[in-house]
Amino acid sequence: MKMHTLKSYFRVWLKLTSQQFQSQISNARGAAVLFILGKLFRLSTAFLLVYLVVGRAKLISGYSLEQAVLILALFNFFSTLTQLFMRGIYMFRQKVVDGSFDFYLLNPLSELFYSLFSFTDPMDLLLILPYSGIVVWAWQSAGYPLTIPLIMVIIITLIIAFVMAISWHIVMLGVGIRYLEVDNTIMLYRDLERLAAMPVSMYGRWGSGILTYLFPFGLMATVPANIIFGLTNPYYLFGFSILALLQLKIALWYWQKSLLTYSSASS
Amino acid sequence: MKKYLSIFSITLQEYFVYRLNMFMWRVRQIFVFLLPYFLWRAVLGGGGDIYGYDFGSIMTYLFGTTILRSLVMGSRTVDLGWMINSGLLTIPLMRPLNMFRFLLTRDAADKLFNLSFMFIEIPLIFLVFKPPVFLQTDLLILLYAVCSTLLAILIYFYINIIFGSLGFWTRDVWAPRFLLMVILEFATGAMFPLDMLSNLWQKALLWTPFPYLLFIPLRIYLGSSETMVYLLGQLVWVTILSLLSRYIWKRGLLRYEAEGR
Repeated sequence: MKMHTLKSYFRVWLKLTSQQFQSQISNARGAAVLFILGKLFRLSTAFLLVYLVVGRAKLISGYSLEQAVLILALFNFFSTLTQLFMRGIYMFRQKVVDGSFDFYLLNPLSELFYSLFSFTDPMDLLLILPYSGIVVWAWQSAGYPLTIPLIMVIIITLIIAFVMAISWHIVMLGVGIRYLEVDNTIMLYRDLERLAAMPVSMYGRWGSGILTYLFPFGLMATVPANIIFGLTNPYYLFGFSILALLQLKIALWYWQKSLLTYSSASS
Repeated sequence: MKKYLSIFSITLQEYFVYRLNMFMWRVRQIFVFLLPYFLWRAVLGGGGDIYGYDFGSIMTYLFGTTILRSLVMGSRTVDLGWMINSGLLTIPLMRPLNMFRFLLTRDAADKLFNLSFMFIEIPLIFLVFKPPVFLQTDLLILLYAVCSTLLAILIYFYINIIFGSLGFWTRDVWAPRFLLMVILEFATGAMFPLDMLSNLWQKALLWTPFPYLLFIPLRIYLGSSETMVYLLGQLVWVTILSLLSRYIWKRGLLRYEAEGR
């Protein structure tokens, strides 16, 4: 992809996001505050659960309370970051059912770009700052050094996880085109994602394997945490990069196949 | 009565229109069980107890909340706010129907749907995970637990009417509902048993209707000595919420503009 094409995508994304922000500010200020409150409350109760359970049991799957808290903080940060860019998937079914997906197909930019990235949630964007603060706090509380090389490795992990998450979102969009029903498939993906809030080794060999290699969820928390704890060699990320690219290729192939079944029924 | 039976039947048929969506929804019900199952297995699977719960008792609690959640918190009334905002409420309003009975009938269909699928899912979970679960055999306690579940269903129904009715005043019904869902996840005891919290928190939560949805019916099922007090508490909440929801509904209807119709 050429540089000026990338610039076009970025400019369109910026425009769409600023429109979302303006819409929320003018129409739904109260709602936005309630959403932020809800998200912070949910995070607090998740920390409370870890504190109550791991604090009393001392260890969970070999991880101490401080380590489990860092895994939860990383999960929360990664999960929010991957989700906030791909909110468009929640509106996708309606677009296919009422035929307004046609407008995405007619645009000069990729229909996948519009389907996934049109509805970036500005409120989530605002929450990223306190969430990253929580990660730094949990990192230091766990007693591990916060060094530049480690931060770089975590950013690389995030990029790989993001590519894998995009692949799965593309597959779900394909399901939406083919079957005109995708809502519970997305929610099932989110339910699976929630499993990664705890160390994935908890789910046994098969469970942790599926969550780490098939889905991006292991990469969202346990793998970066293990790199910080010195339990995983960062060179494994090369393998994960190849896996992520392979998943993206398969997802794009499935999307092209699914697109052929689109009938533009209601437009 | 016949018209409500038709609504009951139509609501059930609606679920089978989008079959993949329905299948995924049922798979999700199993996944709701998995995270807490593995968490507690990692903590208590090797023996011992925390907060007085060993692996068997926490599995009973987890199983109980999974079943109760489907029965009590499976509801179609969550659509009410959207029905008001889209103007779809006009259709049932114009028909010779009692609105509360109409909504309760749709809820009953939803619960029957959930219950019937649970007969497949629960044995499946048992077969795969073989969790040690305590089965209550005292018929009187079982009767109390059934009464408590019915009262919990009513409490949740009225809460949904109240939150749905916000649609008469605002277009942003999703945000307060999201906040409610997050609070319910914690305050009903779905996340973890509420008696793991300090006494102060437990007492404070019992002044709200939320623990009466899952935590209290399960306490009753497990044979609590305070069953009658709990049932009385549920009755009080049903009365308060029923009166409040009727009042809010009447005030809201006066503002209804059937926008979009």
